[in-house]
Amino acid sequence: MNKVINTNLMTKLMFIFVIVSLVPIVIVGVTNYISAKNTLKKQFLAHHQSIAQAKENSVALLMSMRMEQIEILAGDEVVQNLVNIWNTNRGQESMFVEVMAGEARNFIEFELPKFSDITPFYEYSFLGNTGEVYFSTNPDMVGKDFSSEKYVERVAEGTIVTDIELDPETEAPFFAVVAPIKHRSIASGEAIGVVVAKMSTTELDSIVGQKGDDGSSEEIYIVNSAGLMITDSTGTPNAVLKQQVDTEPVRRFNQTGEFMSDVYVNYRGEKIVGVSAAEKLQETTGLGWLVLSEIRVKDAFRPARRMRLTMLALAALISLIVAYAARILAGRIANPIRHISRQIERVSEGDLTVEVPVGRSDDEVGRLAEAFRKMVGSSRTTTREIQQSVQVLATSVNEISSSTSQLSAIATETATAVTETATTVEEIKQTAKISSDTANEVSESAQRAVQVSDTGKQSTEDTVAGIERIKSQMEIIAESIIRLNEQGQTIGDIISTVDDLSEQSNLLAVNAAIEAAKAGEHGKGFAVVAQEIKNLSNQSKQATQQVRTILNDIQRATRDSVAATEQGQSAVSQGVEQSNRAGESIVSLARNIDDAAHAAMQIVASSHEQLVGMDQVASAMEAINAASVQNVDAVNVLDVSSKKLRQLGDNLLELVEQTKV
Amino acid sequence: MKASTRAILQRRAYELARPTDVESDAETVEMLVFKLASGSYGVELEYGLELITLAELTPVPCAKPFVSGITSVRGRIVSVLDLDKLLELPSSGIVDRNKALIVANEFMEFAVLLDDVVGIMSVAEGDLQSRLGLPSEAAAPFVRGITPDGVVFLDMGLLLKEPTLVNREVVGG
Repeated sequence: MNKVINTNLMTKLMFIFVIVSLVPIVIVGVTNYISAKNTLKKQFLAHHQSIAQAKENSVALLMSMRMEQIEILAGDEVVQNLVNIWNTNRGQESMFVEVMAGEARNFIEFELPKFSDITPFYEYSFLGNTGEVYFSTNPDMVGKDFSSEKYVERVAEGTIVTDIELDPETEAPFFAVVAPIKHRSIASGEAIGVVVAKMSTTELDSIVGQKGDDGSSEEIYIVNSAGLMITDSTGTPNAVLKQQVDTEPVRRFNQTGEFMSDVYVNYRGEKIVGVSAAEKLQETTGLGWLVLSEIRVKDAFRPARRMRLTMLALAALISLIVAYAARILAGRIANPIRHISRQIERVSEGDLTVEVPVGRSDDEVGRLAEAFRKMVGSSRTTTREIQQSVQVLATSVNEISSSTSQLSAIATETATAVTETATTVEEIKQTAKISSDTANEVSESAQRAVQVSDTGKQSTEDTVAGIERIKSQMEIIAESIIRLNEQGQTIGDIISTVDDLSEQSNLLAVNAAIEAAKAGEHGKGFAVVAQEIKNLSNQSKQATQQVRTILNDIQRATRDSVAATEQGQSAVSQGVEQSNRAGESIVSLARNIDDAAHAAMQIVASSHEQLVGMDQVASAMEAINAASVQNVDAVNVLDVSSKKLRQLGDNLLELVEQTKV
Repeated sequence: MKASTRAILQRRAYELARPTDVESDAETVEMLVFKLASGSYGVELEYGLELITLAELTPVPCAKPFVSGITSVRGRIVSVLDLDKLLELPSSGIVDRNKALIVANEFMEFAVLLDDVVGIMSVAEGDLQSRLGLPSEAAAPFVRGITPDGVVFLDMGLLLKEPTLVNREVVGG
């Protein structure tokens, strides 16, 4: 069972659900049951207490009634007279006695039946003061002597009831009411005789045996002081004076006179709820009879048991429902987990091809499925990569193995080569000495080059300064030429004015000539002057034309000069730039030469160190020679190891190929 | 002054200084010679000649085609004529001519445009040739003759009297 619960989540959950639901039901049920039982018990006890007391009262009442009846009988005058006469004339044979006997018979035959019709006594005996039976309804009794009987002695005090006895002939149980007979002639009040009236127990039985409504197992009976049952029992037939009742209430009553109302074991050994009562009865009879009313616990607590049964049925029903609900719930939880666990088993067997459906629910189980699905996906990818890697690894290991073999061969060759190298190193040592000398020479020439380059640098700087001066002068020239050009234009304007003036003076000269001609002979001299003026104006016109031509030449030349100056300026700019560049080149050349000189110095130092180093190389080569021998050994070991590695790679490959992706 | 320049001026002085032609006994006429595009023309001095520079020339609406416009000469308004158009002479096209010659008699006064002034020349009546080599048919009535130098001697007296020069037309009339 434990194993099933532990291995099956669904059963476990169902079990827990049922337990959890049943515990409160059980607690409530048990509590209810106990409280109901207690209540019932109290109720029963109270009920039976009253029943038992009622019965006891009835019995006591009956007894006192019967005792009163017998006392009435004992008080009858006829009876008293008969007994008195009998006492007086006993043992004498006379007519009187005969008459008395006849009287007695008459009484019994005619008077007594009137009385006995209303009483249940079946036998009446009348005893004299000697204890002899004088007359009786039972002829067999007449003449018997009862003086030895205890009740004859006790009756002197008053009417008594005897304990139950069995009839010696019929064996039927009976008891007797005994009352003293007194006579008015006896002043002391002593009894002259006794009336003994026998009565069967049926009346008792009928009172006691009246069952309650429920009937069932309820049993009411009376026990005498000897602990014997004196009424019929419902359970035990023919028990009167035969059935010993030695139960707790009887013992307690006999010892302390107390009554009981509790659960105890009855004479049949059954567990019962019982009540004892005898108070009135004891007062009436003083016989020590005890009325017992008992009911079996089983029957008494039937409602409680019924309730318990209902509870159990309810509990069973609830547990069934809970189990069913738990089965559905647990199934909802356990089924996906079982499904996933089956998939995980397949994964653990190396099958990564499992397809996990996308979880429908968003709870922990759904997330578990989702996580598992992602895990399988990623592990599939990883395994695939591992497979590829392992294949690559196996190939690589094979290559390593073959390479190691080659390495072994190469190591041997290396050993040979190292020996050759040692020889070569010696030769290099010689060469290094030569190169050291050469480096010294290089260093010296480099120093000289540095000086030359310094001079070149200075010259370049001077050149740049000169060109800069040329440039500024070129600019001045350009300005002058522009001014010249402007002035040439001014000259042109002046020439135009002069031209205009000469033209006008020409006209004036002609007009003057005209006027002179008009003047005739007198104007001849003036005509000559006018002609001269005209000639002069013509000359000045020609001169201005020449000046204009010259001016045009000058202006053309000036324009050419401007262009030339501009070209010169740009050329000078280029010159400045180029000389700057040359300066920079020379500076960098100087720097390079400087570096070269430094380098040459370093080469000198290095070649010295090289010489020293070559010595160390030679000794190192010896060590290498020894090491290469060890190398060969190590390579052999490596070869063996690589073979093992190859084996390992093959195993790994085999292992990985078992996994399905 | 440089020697070469002095020499040039000297030579010019000699050239200018040569004596004028000895006046012949024959009757000579003094004329002013000027140039037009079609050649040289001469005008007698007796017609009160004066050369002016045209400062401005104002065109006159509805005037004859040969009237270039009018100008102001010392307060007088003078009309300016174009001989090329008047005498239908071959023209050199549009020329910016700024000189004019004022001619006048007792009835008429106007100025004629000219290209350049040559000077005053004397010509003998006898040397004037017939009207051969006239510049145009329209000029023929006004030409007195042509000098041996090829100067066309214009009869300005006729031109001043020419009635066609006077504009009688009325605009809108």
